[in-house]
Amino acid sequence: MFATNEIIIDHVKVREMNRTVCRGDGVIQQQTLDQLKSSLHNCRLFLDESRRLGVAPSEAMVGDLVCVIKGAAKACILRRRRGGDWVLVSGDCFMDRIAPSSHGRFAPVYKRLLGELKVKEDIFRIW
Amino acid sequence: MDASSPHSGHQSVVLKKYPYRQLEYDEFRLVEIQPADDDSMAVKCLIQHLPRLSSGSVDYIALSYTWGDLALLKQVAIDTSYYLEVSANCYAALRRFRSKEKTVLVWIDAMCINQEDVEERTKQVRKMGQIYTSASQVLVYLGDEADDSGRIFEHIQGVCSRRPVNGYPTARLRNLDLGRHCDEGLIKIAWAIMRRPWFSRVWVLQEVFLGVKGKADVVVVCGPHSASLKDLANCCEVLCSEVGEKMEYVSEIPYVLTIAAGGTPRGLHDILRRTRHANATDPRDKFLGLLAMVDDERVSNIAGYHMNTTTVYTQVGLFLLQSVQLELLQSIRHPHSRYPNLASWMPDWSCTEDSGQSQEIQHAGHDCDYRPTLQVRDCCRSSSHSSSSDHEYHPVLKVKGFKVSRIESLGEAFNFLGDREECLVALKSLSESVNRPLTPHLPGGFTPDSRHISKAEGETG
Repeated sequence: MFATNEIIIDHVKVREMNRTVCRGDGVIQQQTLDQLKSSLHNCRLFLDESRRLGVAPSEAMVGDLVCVIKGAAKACILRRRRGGDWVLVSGDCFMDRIAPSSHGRFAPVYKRLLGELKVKEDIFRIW
Repeated sequence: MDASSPHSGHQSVVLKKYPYRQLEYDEFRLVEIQPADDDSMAVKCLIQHLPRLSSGSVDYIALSYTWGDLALLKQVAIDTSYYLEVSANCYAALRRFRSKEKTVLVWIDAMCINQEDVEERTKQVRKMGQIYTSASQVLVYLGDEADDSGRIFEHIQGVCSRRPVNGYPTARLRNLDLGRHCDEGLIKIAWAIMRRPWFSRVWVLQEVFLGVKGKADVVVVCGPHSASLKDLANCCEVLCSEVGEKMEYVSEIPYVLTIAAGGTPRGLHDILRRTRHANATDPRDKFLGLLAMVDDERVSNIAGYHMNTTTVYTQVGLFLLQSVQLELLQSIRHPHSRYPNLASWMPDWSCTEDSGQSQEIQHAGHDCDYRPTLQVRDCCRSSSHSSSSDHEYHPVLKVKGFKVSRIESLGEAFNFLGDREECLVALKSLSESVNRPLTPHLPGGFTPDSRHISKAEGETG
């Protein structure tokens, strides 16, 4: 629990604090916080079968499929729908070691990932 | 209808609702605000039909404002025997721009478009580009003076009066000047201004874009004060950066000013992503309200107000699939539930939370284009209770890809939107998850509410 005097109420104090924020002593910078906020808000961390870490939306469920779709920019999460085929749960996920190329697409690294993961290509019909 | 006369002096006149005459091809309407010596007098207008718009042919002001609360309606007298109901904020804008001596010619959406005519709305919305670029001036009505808002306009005026004759050689010098002589009070005022509803609406982005593009001066009016929008946006940005705060509300305005200056390609997907945080009363406006900003003429025929939201978003999704292919998928972070018939791979543009970052999308070359196949399914059969007359169809996307793995365990959902304590909980759970300790010092950006302060005091005492 924090002492009351540590709670910052008005922007004046925030301003003083931001000026004295030092780097490298474990204090989180505003910019970092903004990034955390934009990339993690309403999301969950998850682990997959091989204990790899990823970030999924809060609506993701155990058993959902993490996949790479040819031509997409980010890792996707698919869920089986009743009656076969798939629904897209998320098209904007993060997964450790499954990173798109620096151009932000999977296409350039698609073949390499297929080989590394030793999986075969599939066709997904998404509703 | 027994409407009491809003026009003082004619107590016994019963006004009738203004009967719009249909617009002929290329015709448009302008509102002529009648002069009044006394500010307290009721607003009286005339509605004119003009044959066609071309730059410089008519001197009129295009207004940019927000409708505000639609439960608060006020009557504007039209001519001698009619009235139109407009929102209180629209009424306030008309009164603010009324002159003491002469009539003022304005284009204002609530009155110049017959809001009850769906076909006319669609047609006029496509002409928004013409309407705002042909105006002699685009005026922004921010609302009345409040929270000492006048001080920021005086500050800008002061800086502008000292401005070098040829303008500032660099943006840094200008920002230095804008940040000079500011105090905490001024920063708070800048914050309050940025939080006015005008800054968060989707329509205003296009209006600003067109105003700047038409080389008209976009001037912001707040009570009796005014300033150029560029100066106000710069000033608020400088003041807020003093406290290390991100300008959440104004962030789209500098973007719009930049793209209006030219040089940046303005694809539909980029613009939809950048304006995702902006609010619209009608979810279809998240697309229809920014048509004129997109530099691809094909977009204007994609959709209209005769379609429901699902159909509009489906049409947009199909268009994007052709222009950016599967990059489209990254605009869906969360599954959408608002429109059950919208395909899961189509972004719901009304969901403001969906895209975390509004960063630029990096486009890869054409070397790795992959075109997926589409299968069109009729979904009218599955939703037999659909009250909509629209023929909704459900395109099924067929793509190539591979499975990486399955989700085996999930952590708690992070919530960074709450107060400071909730954010700390989120950060703590993050640090525990990755096994890296974080100290609990949070810099600004999250103000705790009084609830938590009293709780903390209670615990220490």
